[in-house]
Amino acid sequence: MKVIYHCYGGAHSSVIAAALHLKIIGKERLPTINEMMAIPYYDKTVNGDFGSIRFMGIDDSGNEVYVLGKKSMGDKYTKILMGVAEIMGAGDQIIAIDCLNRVNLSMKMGGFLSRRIGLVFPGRPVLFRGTRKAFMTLVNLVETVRLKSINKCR
Amino acid sequence: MKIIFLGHTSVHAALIAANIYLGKISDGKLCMIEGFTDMSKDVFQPLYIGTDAKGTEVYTLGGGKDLWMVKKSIEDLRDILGFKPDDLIIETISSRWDWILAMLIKIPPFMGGSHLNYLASKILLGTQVNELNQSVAKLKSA
Repeated sequence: MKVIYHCYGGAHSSVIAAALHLKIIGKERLPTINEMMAIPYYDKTVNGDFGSIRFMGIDDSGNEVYVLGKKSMGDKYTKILMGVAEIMGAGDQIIAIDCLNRVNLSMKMGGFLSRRIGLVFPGRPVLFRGTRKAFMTLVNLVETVRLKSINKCR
Repeated sequence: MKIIFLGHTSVHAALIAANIYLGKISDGKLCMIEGFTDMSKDVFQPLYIGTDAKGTEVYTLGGGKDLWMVKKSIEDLRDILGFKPDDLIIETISSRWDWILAMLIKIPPFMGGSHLNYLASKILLGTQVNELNQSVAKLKSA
């Protein structure tokens, strides 16, 4: 099974969700700034990464976890990915999850300043604050996805 | 093998190209194309158009304005699912009128949006048939 988390830039919410899924960061407490920056791809993407499905790791059930940036296409992207997988006869092999609806204003502003305009400062402090604020909703999302992937595997 | 004609929507230029590929259009009569400008069919999923004599399944897909991004994602998805480039070909189809049609499809049907969309598409995309023919011929020869 392939699990694809997608958000606007594939740099923040989807990366945190994938890191939670892969247990790179724990769900019991809010991550520190250093822990977040240690996650591959977190606030490190460039414009050319839009649309690229990037590998993050393999979870303890053997599922491959990926992240993707799809601009403001929302859940339409889930439909596109699932639709293409279905015509290839692999619809049951992927789960695509839109993380954009879990993103708060601080994450949007911080991400915009840091990635879009290139203002790492003050972008990152705003982003870290937003990420910590959205953390538990992302934990919730990932737990749902993990259950879904286990059920699909059976 | 499967081919996806990826356009701004799945029911405009991409649909014309898919029908040209399948040899379903004669004399450039766009009004004869089934589902032409029918936005209820544009649901961000591949739309099956037909199968050619060689068994190639032909689809259209609407990818919005960032077609390069959608194409890249589909190609990456094809690769991670373990398929070869020949198993799924994605052909980007764009026309110079996409930006006008993108505005027209936003007009709700009760304000005459469907009719405007149909009429404008028929006229504007009618001027693009030769270019679409060339794109399809290039794809077939590749």
